[in-house]
Amino acid sequence: MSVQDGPGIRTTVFLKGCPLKCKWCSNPEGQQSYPELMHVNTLCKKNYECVAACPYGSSSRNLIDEDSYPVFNNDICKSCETRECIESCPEQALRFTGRNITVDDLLKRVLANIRFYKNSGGGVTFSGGEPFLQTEFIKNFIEKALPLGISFGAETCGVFEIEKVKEIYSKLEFLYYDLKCMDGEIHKIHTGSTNRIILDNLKKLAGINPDIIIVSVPVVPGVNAGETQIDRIASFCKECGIKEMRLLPYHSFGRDKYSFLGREYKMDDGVSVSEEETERFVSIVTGHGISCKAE
Amino acid sequence: MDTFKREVISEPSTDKVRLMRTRYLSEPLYIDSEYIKFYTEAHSKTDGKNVLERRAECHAYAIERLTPVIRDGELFAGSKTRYVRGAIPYCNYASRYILREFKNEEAEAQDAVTDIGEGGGIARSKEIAAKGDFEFFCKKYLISKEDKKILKESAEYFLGRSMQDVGDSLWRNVYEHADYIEKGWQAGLYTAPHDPAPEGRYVLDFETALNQGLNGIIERLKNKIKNAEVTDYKSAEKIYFWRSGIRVLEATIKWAENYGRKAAELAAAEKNPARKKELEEMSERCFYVPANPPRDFRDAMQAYWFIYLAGHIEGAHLGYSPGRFDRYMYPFYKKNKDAGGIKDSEVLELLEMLRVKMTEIEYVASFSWAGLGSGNLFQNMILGGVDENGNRGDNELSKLVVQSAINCQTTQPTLSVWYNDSLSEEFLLKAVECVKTGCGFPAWFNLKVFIQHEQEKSGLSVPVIRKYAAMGGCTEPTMEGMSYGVVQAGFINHGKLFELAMNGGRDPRTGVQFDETNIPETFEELYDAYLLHMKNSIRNWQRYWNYVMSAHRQTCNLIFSSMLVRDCIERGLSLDDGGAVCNGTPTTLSSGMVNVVNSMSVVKKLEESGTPLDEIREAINKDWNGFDKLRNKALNAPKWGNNDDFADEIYEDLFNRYCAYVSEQKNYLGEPYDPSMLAISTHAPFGKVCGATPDGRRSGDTLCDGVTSPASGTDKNGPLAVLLSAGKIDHSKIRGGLHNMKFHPSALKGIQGSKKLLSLIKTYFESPGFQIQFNVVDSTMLKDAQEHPENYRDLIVRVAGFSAFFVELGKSMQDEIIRRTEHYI
Repeated sequence: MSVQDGPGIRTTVFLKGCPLKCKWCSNPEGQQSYPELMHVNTLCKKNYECVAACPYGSSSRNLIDEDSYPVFNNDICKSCETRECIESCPEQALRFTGRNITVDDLLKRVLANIRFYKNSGGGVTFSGGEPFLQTEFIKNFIEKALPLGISFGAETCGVFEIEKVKEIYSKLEFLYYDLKCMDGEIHKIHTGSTNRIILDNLKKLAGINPDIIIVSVPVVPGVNAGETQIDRIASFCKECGIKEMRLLPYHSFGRDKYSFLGREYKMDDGVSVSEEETERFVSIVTGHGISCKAE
Repeated sequence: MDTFKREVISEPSTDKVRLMRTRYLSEPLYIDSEYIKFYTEAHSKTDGKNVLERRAECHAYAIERLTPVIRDGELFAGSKTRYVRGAIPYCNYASRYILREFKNEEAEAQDAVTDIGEGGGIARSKEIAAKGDFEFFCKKYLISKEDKKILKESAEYFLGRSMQDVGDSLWRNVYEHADYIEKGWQAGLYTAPHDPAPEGRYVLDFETALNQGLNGIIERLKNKIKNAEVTDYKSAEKIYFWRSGIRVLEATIKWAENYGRKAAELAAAEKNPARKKELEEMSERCFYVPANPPRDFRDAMQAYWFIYLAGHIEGAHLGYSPGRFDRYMYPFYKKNKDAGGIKDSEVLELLEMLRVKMTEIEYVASFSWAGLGSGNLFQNMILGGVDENGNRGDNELSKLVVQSAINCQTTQPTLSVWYNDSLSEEFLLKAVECVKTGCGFPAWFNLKVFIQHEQEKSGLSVPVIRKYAAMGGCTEPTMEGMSYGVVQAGFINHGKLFELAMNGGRDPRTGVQFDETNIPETFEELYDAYLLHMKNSIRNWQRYWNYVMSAHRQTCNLIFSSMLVRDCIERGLSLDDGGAVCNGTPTTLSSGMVNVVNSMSVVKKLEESGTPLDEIREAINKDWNGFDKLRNKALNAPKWGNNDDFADEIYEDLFNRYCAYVSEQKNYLGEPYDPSMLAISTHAPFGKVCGATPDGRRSGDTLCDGVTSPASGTDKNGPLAVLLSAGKIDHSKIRGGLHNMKFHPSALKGIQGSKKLLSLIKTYFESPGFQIQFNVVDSTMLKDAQEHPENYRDLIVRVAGFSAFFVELGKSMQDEIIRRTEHYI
């Protein structure tokens, strides 16, 4: 249940794997396309049972971080199927994020909730990672679920093969489309790739039907948190015929997950977007005749 | 971003209400012996009188002599005691605990190091006690020296005469399972006997009381007597009953008139012309109602309060409730407002005052009960529903009642919504707004499910059930103005029953031996042993209570309430003689069932993978020490609340059997006991006396709260899966149920959030579930979650486009959220 993933009561399906590596990403567990070991430090009581339990030597008593939590070798863990560490931890501080699921299994889980969707105007939201990396799965799922009365939405970073997405797009109720920055170079520095394909795809999808697209802009200092940057994004959206946008001011709530995953969080400390700035950016967007709110 | 800001701000709507609320909050608790003094006086003079007339005389004699107290700001009069927060010690129900308390206090007074407690009302009590006119009683009340003397005398007088003593002298001597009951208390299988406050769980017939006035009812009683003809002892007893009714109702009118005189006195001395006028009007009203039907809404409020309070004074109540207030008060509101006689803002002020007045009532019982009930009186005002034709039941007054609770936050009365599809969106959204204040109410009840239950139980017609379905107590439905109100003895600890089943009927903590069963080797044997212990413990408990009830009839039968519950007058029978239309009494399934279900599921699952029951027994006997791996397996086994049939089918089966066992026994009035679900605060003390359980719970840990709510941290598939599990049991089998859900305010943000909550309720009720209530968690709970993450594994915090399990956030981030939450409260 959330108020931010679209209308009504929804089930959000996070599909793993993302072509972008945004520094501020608050769901870093969605970036890799394989299940990852997550060690939740806040639950850990440092008894190192997990270290002792691992037969593959992914961790050792000598391998601990500065707070003396165990550290794991992701390359070993990602191909592990036996997962002895999970059972060994009395605090249940370890878990794998992500798992393989078939269309039918997902359908079964989703169908259990169908009355909740019906009464609230909700449905299923595909998110990620980048859901459109797995278009076959989504297509098959929609094919089975649509006749049963389930409706769909999605959230995308914009990097995908348009030809594979067109058919899915025609079945969606809404699409949150992330647009981070109009400047290709800056985009590359912060996300790992340029924005060419993102802008192209937005234009093409909007050409098919602009009404279901809501452009999402994470407002990040040093990337796009400036009046000119926001204005350029809004102008481009206007050009494409986009009618709705939302601004998501940067927050650092994802920070801890990086350490749980044994990764480094590269955003600077103390970076934030003020309420006043956000309000100003909202008014710039609405100045283009696009409805907009900050969340 | 105001993610953490409380969306709904509460503030009393007028200075008068603010004054009353502040006064309440700053007052300590008192014991007031005035009522029991007069009651005892009358009792000592009436030996040999007919049992009904004697009870009537004692109460009437006392109520017409009570000191009327009217306080600044009040616009309608009536106080249960002379103190803002006063409790009446009902020695006529139970007096031994009072004498025991006195003894303890004296012993402790000599012990200089005894620490009474810190902060708030208790600090204020200390201050007052230090001045020397007051002493402490039951650790939280003040009692004046004079009152203490009176109370001691009354308590001694009632030795051997109180309901508890009369009951004890019967069941302890003749009941075949008396020792089982004693052992049950010793082992923590049962809650302490609640003889000090057994009444409640019903609603008076306010509709008739208001529309006929007490004079109208007295007329009816006189006619009954006039037209009666005595042919046998039964018809003679009816005359005694009607006569006792007249005595009590006339005394009630006199008590109201005493307030009228007091108000006139205060008016005469009042300098402020506005207040003087208010007091004059109040005085005039107290002479007019409740004797006569109200002329306007202000009259109706005064009449309602007198009638409600008079009932509250007569008995030692928990759960005594105002019922469908928005229905029976509406005609007075509507007529008055349409004629331009009253504005909504004025109505709102009166409703806010009512909240303070209802919260002022305190009760005193033995320690263990005060702890279980958390000091709560469980006065439940239920709104909405439907009319007798099934049409929309909410109205403008319903919304004002909710608004009064938003503005004036007090614990009483708790609000509930009789949910059904006819309710207006406007009212529903207002109710959600109230939930968002974080106060925990209104609770939501599914009317359709209760109608089905009541139809099967009592055979009443659907229009009657629609019109009078109400809530008596926290989650127990009752028929307004037509139901008997004393329930069964108390709660049964299902965690303890599980331990008995595991250990051959022997309580591992105390060594007390209950019914002997084989020590189980397999899941099946365990299950069978559990069923046997459950069945016997229910049967013994119910039968024990019937003995106590026979003493209730002799000592504490409610006469005033009998006059205001249909069809007592018509039948000429008191409540304890079966005069009410509905005479069922619920037996409650309390917290702990989910721990049992999860434990059974673990045993079954582990057995499938080759772990023998013996190994599990050894692990829990050692409180899991040295069994981390096994415990981990246990934690990962299927649990209730995940829409997993493996565990859910166990719940369904145990639930069905529980319902069947309960209905096998008949209550004191000859009706089958009615299964119900209720937890109040039993999960903590019950958990304390239970060793570790196979569900992974450690020794002494609290059992799970609620009755269908999953154990903390075991629902790993989100709120929808929890509701899908809870919806699997047949809720129409039970009278009352309880399901708790926690949300962070951010999850319900804005109108969108409100609507989602409403669709969640609607969908759960289609399943069909019976009851649901929401905790919108605040910083206090988040702090607790920080300290005990294992209890909050499921708590989702939704923040700016990103949701997380709270316990998975880093310490710094958790602090950040807590800090910001607090900042805005």
